[in-house]
Amino acid sequence: MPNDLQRLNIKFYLEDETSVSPEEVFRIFNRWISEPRDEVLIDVADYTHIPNGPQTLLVGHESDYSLDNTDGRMGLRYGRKRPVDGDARQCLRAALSAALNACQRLEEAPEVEGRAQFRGAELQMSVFDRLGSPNSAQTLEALREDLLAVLSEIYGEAQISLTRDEDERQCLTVQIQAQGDFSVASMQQALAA
Amino acid sequence: MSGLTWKDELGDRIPEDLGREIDIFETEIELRSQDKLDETLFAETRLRRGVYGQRYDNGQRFDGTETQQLAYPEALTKGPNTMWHAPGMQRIKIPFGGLSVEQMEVLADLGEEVSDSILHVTTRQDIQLHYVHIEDTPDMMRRLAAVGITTREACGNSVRNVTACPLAGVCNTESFDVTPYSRALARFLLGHEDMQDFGRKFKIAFSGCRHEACGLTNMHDLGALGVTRMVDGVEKRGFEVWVGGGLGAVPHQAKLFDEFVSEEELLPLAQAIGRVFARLGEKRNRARARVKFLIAKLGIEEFKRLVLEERQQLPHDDRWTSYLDDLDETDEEPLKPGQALNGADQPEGFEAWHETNVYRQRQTGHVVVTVYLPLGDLTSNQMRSLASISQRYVKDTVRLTVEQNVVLRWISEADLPALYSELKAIGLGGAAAGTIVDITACPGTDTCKLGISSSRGLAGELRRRLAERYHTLDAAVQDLRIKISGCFNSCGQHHAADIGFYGISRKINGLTVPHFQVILGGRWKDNAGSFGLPMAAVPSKNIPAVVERLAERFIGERQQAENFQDYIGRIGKREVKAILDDLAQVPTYEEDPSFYRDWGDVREYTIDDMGKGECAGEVVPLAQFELTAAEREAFEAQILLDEGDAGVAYSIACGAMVQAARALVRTQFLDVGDDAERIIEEFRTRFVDTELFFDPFAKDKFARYLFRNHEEPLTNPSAEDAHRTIEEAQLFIEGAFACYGRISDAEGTLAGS
Repeated sequence: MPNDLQRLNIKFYLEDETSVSPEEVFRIFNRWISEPRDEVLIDVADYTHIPNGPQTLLVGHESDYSLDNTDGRMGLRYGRKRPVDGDARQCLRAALSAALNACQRLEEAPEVEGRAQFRGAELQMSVFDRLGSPNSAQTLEALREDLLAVLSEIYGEAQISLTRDEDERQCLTVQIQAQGDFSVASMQQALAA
Repeated sequence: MSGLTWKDELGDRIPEDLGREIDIFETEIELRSQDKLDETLFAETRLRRGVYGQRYDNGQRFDGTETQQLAYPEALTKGPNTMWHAPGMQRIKIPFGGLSVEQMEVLADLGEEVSDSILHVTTRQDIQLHYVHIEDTPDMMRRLAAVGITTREACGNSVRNVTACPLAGVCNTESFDVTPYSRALARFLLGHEDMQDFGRKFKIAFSGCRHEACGLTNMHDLGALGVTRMVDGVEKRGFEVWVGGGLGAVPHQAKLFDEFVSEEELLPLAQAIGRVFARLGEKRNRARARVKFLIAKLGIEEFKRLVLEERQQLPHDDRWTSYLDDLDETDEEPLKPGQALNGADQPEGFEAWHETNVYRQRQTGHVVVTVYLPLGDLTSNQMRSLASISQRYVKDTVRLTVEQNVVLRWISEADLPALYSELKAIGLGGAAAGTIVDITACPGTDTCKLGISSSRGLAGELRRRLAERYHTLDAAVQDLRIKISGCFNSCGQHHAADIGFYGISRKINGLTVPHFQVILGGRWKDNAGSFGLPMAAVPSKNIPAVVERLAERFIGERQQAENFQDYIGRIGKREVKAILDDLAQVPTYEEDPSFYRDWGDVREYTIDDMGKGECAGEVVPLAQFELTAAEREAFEAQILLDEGDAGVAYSIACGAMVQAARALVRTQFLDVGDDAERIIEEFRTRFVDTELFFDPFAKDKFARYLFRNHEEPLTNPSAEDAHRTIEEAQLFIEGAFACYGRISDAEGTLAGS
């Protein structure tokens, strides 16, 4: 079991992919730099010239945030860069919490007037660490118990499916789908409880 | 899996010498992190490994209202004014731009794991990763080393990436394939003890053709142009060697060193040049430390004499010629036999793409495909997919280009429709490679510490507008090249473009407004055959209109097949300036605040001054008038140079510098008078000795232009001398404008337009 689960990425998808534009998010991310919440945020990069990638990237010291379209679906990606202390469950929990906080902040951003809403029942987890967490069935199996334990905190008893990207050249990427409807706020509350 | 390291994982796949160097670097990181290694020493150490600083790494960022402190966890630095925890840029050398599938895959993985999933292709066939943490660099280097890539000497005062024409070996007009020679020289000079004591960087380029753009040998410290010569009835390979070229703030055309250097002599000659440069090149004044200044000081004949003398004293080295037995090592084999297209079904968009992105190789049935990368960027996933495509169509015959694209060589023509569909599916099927849409831009203010204006923001905007209209543009306009630098340092190679821009700023009604200097008359072909000159400073927001207007006038007024350079030369700079005059005007903030923000940025360029600006009224300070007059003088010098009067042009350019210095002096000492000696003395005392004139990065570089031209006037300046002095005058005047802006800010006075 990987107890050094690092470089975790969590992505939540927008309900309506066109509800918020990269230009709007660029403006919002710039504001976030001036209003940091317990982290160092540094700069915003515009990559809208590459459609299937991070469209607008908020670069931080510990973590990055992006309006992301890497997989052809627009969402908010949180990516941890600096090492996190703790076991896999703690790392997962911290990443999920940070991603949800960012989603909530975007949903509540006055610039988008409530247009940005996230589909809570689906998320993507990636581990950008091919050495520590190679993309294999074994890695996922080793991680499954911790992952499901953390997911059950936000999804309760809902049925959860985990689908791993089997392209071995990709980093470990798991598509997570829960049965039911889940709002960002409810998942945050559940995780904080 | 726990506790496993890349060092363990890769084991002996890391070449021993590279592995040892990386281990040492890792130790140095550890020592610096404990403050046991001097920060300046560490900075040079990391730079020599391609580990750069990046914008905002001083821990400050202007947020549009005020400068914010970035609260990094510790105050530790990795160099002067460079915070330890600030992410930086990693430059990765790719000699001659050549990449294998395996290397592409590793680069893709690294982009994802240590950077922001974006790989940036530079104007010198490097790859750059941004936002990289220094602690991640040793393992990154190990993973690169395991696939034959080093970052050593990607920066610092060293031999940088050796570039070469991306068509070498398949080109229709080359003398011969320069690839193995570029590789051999890159390997020979890497870490060579004679190349470790330069005052500045040293750039080398190879080209196989005289008349194409290829390796841009005219603008390199050492340019090697492949040529052949008949010796005793046998064709011998050799190189026309050019030295002392370079762009930078003031571009220099390379000087011919030798018409024919045999292949056996190429490496020892390069070594001898390096030794002379190390021994005699300037070390203290970075602004004059490139080899071009040494050659200008000594004269090409004396430089050549010294180099040849050095060559004779070199102890023999088997490596000088041993590579000649393995010239075929870089020969490429096609994965598939060459087959003609033969009317195969063509997917939508194929025809337009084929027209601009496909080059027919001299080997029948095979073509080179240019994969157009907007702004030189591709994602990790795109790189990985491109590696996969390469594996299926060509395998390892991939190269990066100095126009920030990728080329796939040895594509069987019959595969083009399928290849196009696959490229399109991963977002890399863009047409218009090598056209006006395919704009080159350095990172500029996006990530570079030296950036003044947003070169990428502007490039993105121009690209968007031009792409929309591409098919309605005249073919002569479609073929124009646009190149943009975020500052005067020319990383975007703006001097060698049909239309070039470099970033500057101007103070208007108390506010700083992003501008670009418009450079026209450069020639990309003929290995960067000529360099353009500044025409006008135009606010960033009007640059798209500059391009549009120049294109319209060119098409409306060109005579027969006249090219753009000839057109600009014919109508003259005075007329060009008249064309652009109204676009140089800046509306007040109240009229149009968008002029006070840069492209691709939502922040006010300098909103610190907003309060003063709003009440600025129409007050125009005297200094502003006088600086503008000095700029006008510099422009007049250009006109005179065009008219063939180099001597007068030179004098006026020198005078323009004095005039600008006088404008600054008069802000403190109104009665300085008109005597040049007195003005320069006062300028030195009041603005240089006090460092008021100092550019944050160039320091007193521009002031030295004034001093040198005054202290060592040329008695019979050539056209090249005059050209260079005009460039220097323009930069000095820009420096004076910037200085005046800083003084105004500091004093809280008004600086009007």
